[in-house]
Amino acid sequence: MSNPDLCVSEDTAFEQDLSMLLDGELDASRERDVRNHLEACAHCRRQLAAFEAVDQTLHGTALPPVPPGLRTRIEHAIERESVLAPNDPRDAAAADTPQRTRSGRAWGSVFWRAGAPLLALAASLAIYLAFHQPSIDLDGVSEEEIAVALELDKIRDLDVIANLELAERLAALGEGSI
Amino acid sequence: MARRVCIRDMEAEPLVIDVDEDVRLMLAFRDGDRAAFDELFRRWAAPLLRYLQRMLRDAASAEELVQEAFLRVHRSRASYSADARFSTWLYRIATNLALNELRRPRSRPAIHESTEAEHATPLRDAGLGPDEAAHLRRLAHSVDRRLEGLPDKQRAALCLSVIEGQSYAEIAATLDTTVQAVKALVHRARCALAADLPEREY
Repeated sequence: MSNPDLCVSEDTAFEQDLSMLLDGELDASRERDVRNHLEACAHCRRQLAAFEAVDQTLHGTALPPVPPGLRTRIEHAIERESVLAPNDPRDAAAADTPQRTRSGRAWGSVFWRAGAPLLALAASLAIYLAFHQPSIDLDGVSEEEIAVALELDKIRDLDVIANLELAERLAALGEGSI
Repeated sequence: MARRVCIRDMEAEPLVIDVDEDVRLMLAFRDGDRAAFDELFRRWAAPLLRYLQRMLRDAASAEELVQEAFLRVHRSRASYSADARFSTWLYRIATNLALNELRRPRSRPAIHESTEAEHATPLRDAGLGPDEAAHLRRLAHSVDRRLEGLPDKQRAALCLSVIEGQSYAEIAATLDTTVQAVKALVHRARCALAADLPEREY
């Protein structure tokens, strides 16, 4: 590979080898071949020099100072989580689930601790209502009395009305005020 | 024999981190040693912040994600296994967080001059003449701008390789892909950045 006329740099695989050379990822044999070619090929040397210029620039990225309050903020966040979900074993699976946010987990914990009993209560109520429909006893209620209730648009609440407004209206009706 | 990693920093002595010590610290933390967590933070917060700043180009978001990454390390300590390098595990968490953040349209800030200045590649000017320093700054500016435009995984692969010094195998684990894919990602990223350099820049 010492003849520059035989430059294989148009070959993507060879260009990739230049990258790997810079990253120390070539095995010894392949590295020797690539270096031999570079000695004879100005085109590939320019390509490698361009890659080195990019790397040199990126190498110059200094370590930034860590904000002094960052460690404290992490500690506070840990304390908040401990309050919300002390010793929650489900935390063990969190590292590789990036879609779940910290706040999402926290609210999840709150749900399982506070929401689950409420959910059970709501389910019990639904079952009770399904098998125990409240009945409305219209025996002894005249059509006129029902008309009064309809006028009030509260027939669905007749049981309640019976104890409140309807009682008063019916009483009034009985007195002939309507 | 302990493996050692050199974290590149041109403005200071190279930060050499003993990776076996990381494993020891993480196992100690897993077993309840809170001081070990402090030490892991002290060793890795700055490199992780640099990586996330490069990925996000937004100092505030990068800081938030460093916080979130260490919080997840704390939360997931029980699941840590010594067969995984701590840094690979940490950078994988951070990379997932960053990629999620970058998928949110509002998380991509416009690059203003002040941001450019804030994140421009710091250069060691000592010993350089004014022309050479100016030349290097132009070069850095060109690379910075092009890096911002790279696909997220190309940018991550290049930063992990060139800046953080990770091997292709480690990057593959971090990005949850194959070594072959990492070779292509790093190379394409380098080509894209090099293509924009004026001939005389190198």
